[in-house]
Amino acid sequence: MSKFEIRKRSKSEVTILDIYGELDAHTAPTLENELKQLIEKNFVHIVVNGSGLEYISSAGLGVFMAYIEDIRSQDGDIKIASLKPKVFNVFDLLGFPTLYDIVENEEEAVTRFK
Amino acid sequence: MPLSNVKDDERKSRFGLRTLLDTSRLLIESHDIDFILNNLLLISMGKLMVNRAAILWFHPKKNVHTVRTFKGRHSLPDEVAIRREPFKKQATALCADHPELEHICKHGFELLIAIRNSERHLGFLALGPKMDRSQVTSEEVEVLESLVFMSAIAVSNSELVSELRSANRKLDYKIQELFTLFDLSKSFNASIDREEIKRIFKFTLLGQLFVRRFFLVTQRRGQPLVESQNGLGMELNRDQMQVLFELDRNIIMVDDGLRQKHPFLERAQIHLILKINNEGQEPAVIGLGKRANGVEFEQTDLNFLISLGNLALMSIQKTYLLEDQIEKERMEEELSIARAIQQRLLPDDPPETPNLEIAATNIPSYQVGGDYYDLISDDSRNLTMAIADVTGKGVPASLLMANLQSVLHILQPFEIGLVEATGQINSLIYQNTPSDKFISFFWGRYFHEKRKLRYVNAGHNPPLLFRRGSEPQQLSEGGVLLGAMPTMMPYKEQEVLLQKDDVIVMYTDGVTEAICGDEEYDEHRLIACVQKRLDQHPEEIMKAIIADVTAFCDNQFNDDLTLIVCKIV
Repeated sequence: MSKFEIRKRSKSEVTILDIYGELDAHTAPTLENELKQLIEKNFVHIVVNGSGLEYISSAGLGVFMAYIEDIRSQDGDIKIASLKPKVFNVFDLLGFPTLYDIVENEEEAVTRFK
Repeated sequence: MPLSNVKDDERKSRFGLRTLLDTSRLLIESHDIDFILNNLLLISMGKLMVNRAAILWFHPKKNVHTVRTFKGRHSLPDEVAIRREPFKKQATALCADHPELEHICKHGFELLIAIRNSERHLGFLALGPKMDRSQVTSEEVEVLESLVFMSAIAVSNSELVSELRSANRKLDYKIQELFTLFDLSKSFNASIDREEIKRIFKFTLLGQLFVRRFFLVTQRRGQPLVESQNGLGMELNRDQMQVLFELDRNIIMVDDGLRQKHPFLERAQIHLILKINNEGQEPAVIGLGKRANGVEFEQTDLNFLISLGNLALMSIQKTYLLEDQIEKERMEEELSIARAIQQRLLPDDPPETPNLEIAATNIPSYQVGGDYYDLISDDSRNLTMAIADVTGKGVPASLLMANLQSVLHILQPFEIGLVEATGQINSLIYQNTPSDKFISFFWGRYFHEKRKLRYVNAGHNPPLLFRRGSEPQQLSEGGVLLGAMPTMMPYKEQEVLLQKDDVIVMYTDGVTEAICGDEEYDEHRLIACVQKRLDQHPEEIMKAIIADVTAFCDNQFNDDLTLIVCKIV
C-alpha cells in the first residue's frame, strides 16, 4: 500500500488535487509528476486539497516551490486548502503563507481564481 | 467648601476610579503594545479633553524619541531629543516649567508624562493644551500617572509575551529543522541511488529554505564535478569550480569584491558559498542564491545548511564507494573466469610416455599469471615438454601466455625441427608484444626409444639434470629470450643422451626466487632438495620441492610457481 496518494478532480476551470497520506522525500515524485503533467497541458489553476494530508516534510514542501514559478509564469497558481492544523503549522513555520494562498477550505480556494 | 463642590469632587474622583478600573481590565487582557498605547492616548484625551496627544517612544541605542503613535495635529519631527533630568524625581512635567523642554512646547504640547517600568524608561505620553484652556489639576495628573503606570506594566507584559512567543516559534522551527535532518538522514541512508539523493537535496533546499538557485560541486579522485545544480542559467567550468575549492573560508557571503574578482558568481547570482569538509573525504562546495522570500540567511540556517550538505555529501560519496566496490567485484569475477580459462590452457594429465615418469604443476600467485607449461605427445608417443615465464604479472602476462600456448599448439603438428620452430615462435612473439615484454622459454622433445632429449633454451632458468653420482647439469644451450629481438641467428639445439634413473627438473623463477627475509630460495636449495630424493617418483619429488619452498617463504608467494619433474625409467 502506498503511503501517499493523489486523486484529481475538476471544478469549472480549476483542477483539484486531493492528496492523502505522507508527503516526504520518497513520495514527492508522485506529486511532482502530477504537477509536471498539469503544467504541460496548461492546466495551471490548481487547488491542492490537503484535508487527507497527514504529514509533510520539507522535501515535500520543496515540490510546491519547484513548480510555482512555471505555474505563475503561465498565469496560474497553486492554492492550498483544508490543511490539518499540524500540517499547517509546518507550512507556517517555514514561511509559506507569505508566498502562497493557504485558505480554510476548497470553496474559498476555488473562488480565489475567479 | 460648599456642598456642591464636595459632590463635584467626589463625582470626579469616582469617574477617575472607574476610568482606571476599565483601563486595567482592558490592559490585563491585551498583549498588543500598539493597542495599549492607542488606548492610553484615547483615555487621556477623553479624560482631559485634549485634542492633541502623542506617544514618544524611546530608542536606547540612538538616545532619541520617535513619534510612535499620535492623535490630532502635531508638527514634531521624526526624531526628538528630550532631556530626562526634569523626570528624575517625578513622572510628570509641565513643559512651560522647564526651559530644556521649550522645544516640545513649540510643537504644541504642554505636558509630558514618562512611561517607565521597573527596569527602564520606555517613552513619554505627550499631551497638548486642554480645550477649555484650564490648568491641569493635580488630581488629573494623578489619574494620568496611574494610567501611564498601568500601561507601562501592560507593555512590559506584552513584550514578555511576544518574546516568549518568538522563542516558542524559534523552538518550533528548530524542532522542525531537526525533524527534517532526521528524515533526511533516514532517506539518505536508505538510498543508494545518487539521483534520488540529489533530488531530496534539491527539494529540501526549496522547501525548507526557499532556495531555488544552487549548485553542489564535489571532487571525485581530485577532479571537480558538478553533482547537482538548479536555476543557475549557466554551466560551471573547471576553472570556476577550482576557484570555489580555493576559497579560504568555509562560510562566505558573496560581496561586491568577490563578485568583481569572479564575475561568474554575479552571473549565476550566487549569494552564499559553503565549503563542506567531511573528515578524510574529498570536500564539496555548495553555492546558494538568495531565498525566494527575501529573508537573509541566519546563523541557524547556516548550521542547517552545513548539516544538510554534510549528509548529502556523505551519502553521495557512499554511492560512489558502493559503485567502486561493485566494479571491483565485477573485475574479480572476470579475473576468476579468466583464471579458469587459463587453467584449461594447461595440460590435464601428463600423456603416457614409454620410459618416462612425469609430474607437473602450476600454482599462480595472482588470479591470472604468466607462467606456462605444456606436455604434448605426438603420434610416435614422443613427448614435447615446454615451460615458460612471461615477464610481468596479471592480465597482460596471461594474455601473452595464451598467445604462446596457441602458437605452440599450431606449430606442434608440423614436423619441423625445434630450432626452426623456436625461431618462428620468437618472430611471432616479437611482432605481437611491446618491447618490454619477453618470455623465457625452454622446450625439449623426448625420444623415448633412444632415451634422448633434444632441447632449446630461450633464456629460461636452466632445467637441472640429476644423475646419480655426479653434479647436476644445467640445460642452458639455446639463445635469447622470446620477443626480445627479431630472429637474426638461429637458436641452438642441444641433444642429451639420458640414462635410467636420470631426473630432470624444469622450473620457473617462482621456485628459486621465493623469498625469506632478504634471502632467495635459490638453485642450491632446489638441488639439495632434489638430490636427497632421486630414488623417489617424480610426483613425490615435486611435492617435496613445493613443500620445501612453501616452508622457506612461509607461504608468501609473490610469483607464479611452475614445475615439471621427469624421470627416465
